[in-house]
Amino acid sequence: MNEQNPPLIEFRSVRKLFGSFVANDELNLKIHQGEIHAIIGENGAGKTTAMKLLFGLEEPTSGQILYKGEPRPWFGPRDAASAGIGMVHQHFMLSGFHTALENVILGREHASLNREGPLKRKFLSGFLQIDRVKIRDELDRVACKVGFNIPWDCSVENLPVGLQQQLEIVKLLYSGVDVMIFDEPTAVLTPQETSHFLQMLKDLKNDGKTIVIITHKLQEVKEVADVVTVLHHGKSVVTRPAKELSIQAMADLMVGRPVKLGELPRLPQKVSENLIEITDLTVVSPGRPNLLSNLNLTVSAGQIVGIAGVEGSGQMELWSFICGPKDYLNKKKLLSGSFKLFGKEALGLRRSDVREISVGIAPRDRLKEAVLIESSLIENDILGHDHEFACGAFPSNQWLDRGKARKQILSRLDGFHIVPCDPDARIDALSGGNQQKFVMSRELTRKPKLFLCAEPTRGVDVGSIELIHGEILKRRDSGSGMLLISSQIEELMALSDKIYVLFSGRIAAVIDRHNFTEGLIGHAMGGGNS
Amino acid sequence: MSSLGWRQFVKFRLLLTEAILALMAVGVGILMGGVLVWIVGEDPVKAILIIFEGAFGTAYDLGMVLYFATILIATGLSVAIPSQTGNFNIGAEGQTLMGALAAGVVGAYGPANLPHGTCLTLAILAALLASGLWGAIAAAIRSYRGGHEVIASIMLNFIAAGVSGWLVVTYFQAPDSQNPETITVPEVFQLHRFDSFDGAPATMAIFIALAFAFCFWLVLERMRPGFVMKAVKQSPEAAIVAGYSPNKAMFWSFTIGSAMCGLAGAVMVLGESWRFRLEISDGFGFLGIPVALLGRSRPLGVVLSAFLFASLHHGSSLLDIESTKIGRDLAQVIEAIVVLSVVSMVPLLRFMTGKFSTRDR
Repeated sequence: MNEQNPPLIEFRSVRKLFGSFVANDELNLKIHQGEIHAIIGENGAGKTTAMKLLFGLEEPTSGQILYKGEPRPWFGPRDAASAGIGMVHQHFMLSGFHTALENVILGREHASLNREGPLKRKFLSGFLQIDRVKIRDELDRVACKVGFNIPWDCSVENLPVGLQQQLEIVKLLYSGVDVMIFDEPTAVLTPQETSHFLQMLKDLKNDGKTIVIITHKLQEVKEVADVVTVLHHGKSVVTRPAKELSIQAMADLMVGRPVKLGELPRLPQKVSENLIEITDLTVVSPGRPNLLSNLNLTVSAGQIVGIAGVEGSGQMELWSFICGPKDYLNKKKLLSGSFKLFGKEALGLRRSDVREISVGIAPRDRLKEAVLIESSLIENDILGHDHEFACGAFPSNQWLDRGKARKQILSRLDGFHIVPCDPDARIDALSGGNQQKFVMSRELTRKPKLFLCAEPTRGVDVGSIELIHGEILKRRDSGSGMLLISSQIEELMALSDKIYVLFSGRIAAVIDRHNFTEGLIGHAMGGGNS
Repeated sequence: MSSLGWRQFVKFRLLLTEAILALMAVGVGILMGGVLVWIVGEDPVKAILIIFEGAFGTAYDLGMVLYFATILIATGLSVAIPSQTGNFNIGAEGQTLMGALAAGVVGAYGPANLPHGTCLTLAILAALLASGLWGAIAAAIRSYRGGHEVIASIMLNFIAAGVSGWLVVTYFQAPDSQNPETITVPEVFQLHRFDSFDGAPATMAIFIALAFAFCFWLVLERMRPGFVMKAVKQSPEAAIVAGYSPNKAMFWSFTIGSAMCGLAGAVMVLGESWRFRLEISDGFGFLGIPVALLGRSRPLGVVLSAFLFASLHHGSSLLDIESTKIGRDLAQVIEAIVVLSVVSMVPLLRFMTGKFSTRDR
């Protein structure tokens, strides 16, 4: 902000190589005391590496990192924390088995024993009681200050992600850091939680904290950041006050070329046959309220149907029902209702059957559900589509034609601009955005009649979002029907022809495209009828 | 380099690295075994030469190595196949026992008027079936009840020992014997020994074992079930989304793996002792575990390490005669050290192969 003061943290021409791969190059960064500094860039632009360098997890190949004008005086996260720098990682570092309170204490047991004498602390630390009451009081005070209300005795796996993030933040505040780094903090938050979070950032700033936020959600940058640094291919392209850059300008700088934001062109919807027809579907689970109740839903060809709702409103239940209806018959979870796929009774279909009748599936959790992380692209291209490469007479169709897969994959990788374009590269050599593009290419280029898609752009940068949205609309225009589940209202509004809003397992509203407003959808998500 | 060339290069490097590491493990085993021999006060070089001579010195010894290798390929596969879906079959001992019992009973009471080939096929199939069914119990506990397969299969080892003893004593006891054993199987049920090994029980069963290993390779590298197994091992969640059933894959890989023990049991009964005895499996089931570990659960690896362990096992028996200070126990020590080396080399392998397959960001 104020150029005359020396920066708190400064990167001077930092360069970082991994082998021959350039992660960062000519990276210049000045972070001043008391500002909110946004670092934006595409996936693989070197944001995370830059933060690792700052933390001391990696050493720069050349260049300098200064803290208060001195070379960085710490050599790892623990040191960094005692120097007053803390980070909330994109994937929370919490232990699911422990309670919220225990998660704060974990790894800091010694700190809570400070009031004991040094001898006792040294030799008896393993035996001394941790004063939970006192710690809880202190934590409550910290949480209260930022307006959080965390159930300290709840085990973390039962906390919603929003609360888990609050817990991470309180952990940081409790350890007394002055510089807080957030890596993709809003990726898992609902719109309401996001606006809470952004407000909290401003409050923290007013308390004198310095905040670095790594993100690619430009709307949020515009809303909270004082200064923006754009990274592109590992280099810092520009550092400017946030109010001087428009969202369009930031997007263009990030991608390195002009990007089209907002509405993509689409053909008018044609009325055609129903692909999914669900009538009066009720799904139960013992000991819990109805997972889905009296649900009616249709998806027709050439139509994108969006499903909105706060997390846990029944989206995933609906999703896994459509992916494998027979599981629900077997487990006796289905109470009533009928389900037709492509006009045919489909309650008896197994997951493998659904796969084979031209249904593309792109699940929500990319790393866990969509790919085999230790396998090559070509193996991953076969995953879920092995029936296409089936051949052989004995035992019939049990052989796998890998040569055929190899012939097909290159055009797929090319069409979606996937880097590296090498069928034998392991998929974990791809950045998150490229992995997601890969999953999309695998499903979409097979021209599915019906495409089931959850969170298509989670953790994906602007350039890839543009491409993925474009491809989704292209498939729609050529007649595929789609079911789209997303936690991002803007995404649903940009793509859908019709939005069903779910609230605790029932449909709270059905809204057509010409009636879309964020207010209407948000209202229904909260349970209001329309 | 062209993409094809690069692919083969990477794959070759990977295999080469694994092979080198396996050899290193064997080297460490022999080296440390040698140190122990030296501590005891014997000449390590001499000990190794004795083992070598014991394994390959005469035609008979070669035949014995072939016989043990047949058994170890089978029990090695019984560990390697379930491990393709991430399961650890530690119950080969019990499965071998059940297979041996089935072969012995079919041999003793089966239709002896059929042609030789038919009789053998019947007996071996019965053994495969019995072992497979015994393994299927542990497989079902694992797949459909979520129990731990290691616990289940190790307990089934004890149960197999008890059950087979009871069955033999109660129903199939040879009247002319004081020991719990079945009657001798007629010649039509006996595997013919090769002529050139001075009467050692080397039989054509080695070709069956090799064929099984080859089928395992085919399934793994060329067939859809092999692909499904890999997917299940890497990520059950992704396998489910892809339309595969992890439970089914685990069940069948475990069951079919267990069935391999049937061959081991059948070879022991029909090829060597011609009757079922209680102590017949003699630890060969357990020896399948180091065989699979050293062979990295790959078909060719299992075959090669089975031959290595067979040579070590048979060769060391000569130590009992030739040396007063060391005996066949040395072989077991070396085997154990080899296993420890293999297990502790996993991070090293990941380090060495990681360079060719992943890029650190």
